[in-house]
Amino acid sequence: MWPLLGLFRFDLYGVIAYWYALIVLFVFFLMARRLINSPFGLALRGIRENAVRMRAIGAESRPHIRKIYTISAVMAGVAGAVLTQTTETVSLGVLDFQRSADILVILILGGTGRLYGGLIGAIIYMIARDWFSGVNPQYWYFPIGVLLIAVVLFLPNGILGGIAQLINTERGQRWFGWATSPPSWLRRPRRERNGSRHPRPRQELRLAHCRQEHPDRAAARRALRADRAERRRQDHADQPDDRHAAAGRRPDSARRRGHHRARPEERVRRGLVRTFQINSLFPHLTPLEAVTLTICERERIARTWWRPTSDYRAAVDEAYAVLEQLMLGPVCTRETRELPYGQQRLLEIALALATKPKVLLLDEPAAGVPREESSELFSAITSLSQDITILFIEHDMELVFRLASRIIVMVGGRILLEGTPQEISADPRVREVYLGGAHG
Amino acid sequence: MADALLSFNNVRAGYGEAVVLDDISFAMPERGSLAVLDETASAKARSCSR
Repeated sequence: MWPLLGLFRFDLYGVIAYWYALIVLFVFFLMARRLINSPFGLALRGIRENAVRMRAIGAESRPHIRKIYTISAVMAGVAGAVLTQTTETVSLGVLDFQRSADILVILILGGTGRLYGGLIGAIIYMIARDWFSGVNPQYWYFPIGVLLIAVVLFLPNGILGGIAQLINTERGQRWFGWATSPPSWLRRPRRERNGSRHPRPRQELRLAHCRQEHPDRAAARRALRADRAERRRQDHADQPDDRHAAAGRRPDSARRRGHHRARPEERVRRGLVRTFQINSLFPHLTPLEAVTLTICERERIARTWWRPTSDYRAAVDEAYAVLEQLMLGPVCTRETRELPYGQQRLLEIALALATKPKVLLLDEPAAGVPREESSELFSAITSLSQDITILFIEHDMELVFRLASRIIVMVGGRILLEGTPQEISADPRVREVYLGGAHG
Repeated sequence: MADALLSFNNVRAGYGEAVVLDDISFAMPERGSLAVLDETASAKARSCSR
């Protein structure tokens, strides 16, 4: 074997090989760290958290996934090259299942989805392997399996995830006296941070494995599935060429003329944005991260992986301004899953606003919001209508009459009446059906 | 409507055989807010999700 860089000859004790592997690891670790802290890394976290929501903020996930698969393959390739170079051996053994399984075990032990998970997992795995193989050279894999099962059962996010979870609890705070801090670009002046640090709400009631389904809704869902299946069958039955020929167009002209159903991310980019009736957010991202991600996707900077997100200060400042507009400024560095439901509804709207919509579809924005939290939500939504066009669906009559400049009343799937809130509330039919004759 | 940002023209939609939007036409003006009132949630939700 030739000396490394023509200077360092691989020795029998593996000292040079060890340092060489360590330096390569360090370089790639720095690259991975840079990637995680970039807008691209933020987009990857968004995809992991909620791929459906990514489309609703106008993000195309596939190019991101293709890119990270390619980067991962490059890293795996370099790791394989280093292994071959340091062991000076290439055999079919490097392709066997056990090596892949070892890597998987290391990641599960350390914690998948975490930058340091692989490192911690590798250290634990190597110590455990050396120790167990010393105790029982023949069946050392058995206690590794037991360790793996224990981690999966009791620490589903790996050892690192378990420690992070412990630190974020009251007991962990007492034991460790410190908490995991957000990335530097998310830190705001200390005065604001202290003001925003609310105590974690105590869990008084916990429901698990509950499922409630309205019979009508279940029937509607079955009908919807049948409808989609029927439509697919019809699509397959109609030959595309025949359909377009009948319309006097070439087969591909329909798509060019816009006669195809736009994908959700395309609609968002054209300015048609919606919120969800049931919250669809990024639970482990903070509101500031989630809104910054949306702005990065809108500005097409989410694909850059070599510059940290902190370099895009304008995007972060804009995200903060959007959150301030919706009164989420004080909680913008808390994880979304910790926020009260009303604030999560506001975050739904904040994500939609960050896409700079022309038309905003609000699907029951006040659904499920407790009365004590609804006033903030109402005033936030009311302030929106001056800037953008809003189509909204809502059961809360107070919100409807406060926000709408025009109202459409539908009965039996047809439009009964269209007019201003005053005209609608004065109509005797509407008063009878919707307002109980009391509104006025 | 000349300055309409979004318009629904003769929209018909439903779940299976149940029609919840039947020949609906309306337009949304720029910088306005339009609310839809309906006795059932399905028609409104359908108009938002189409």
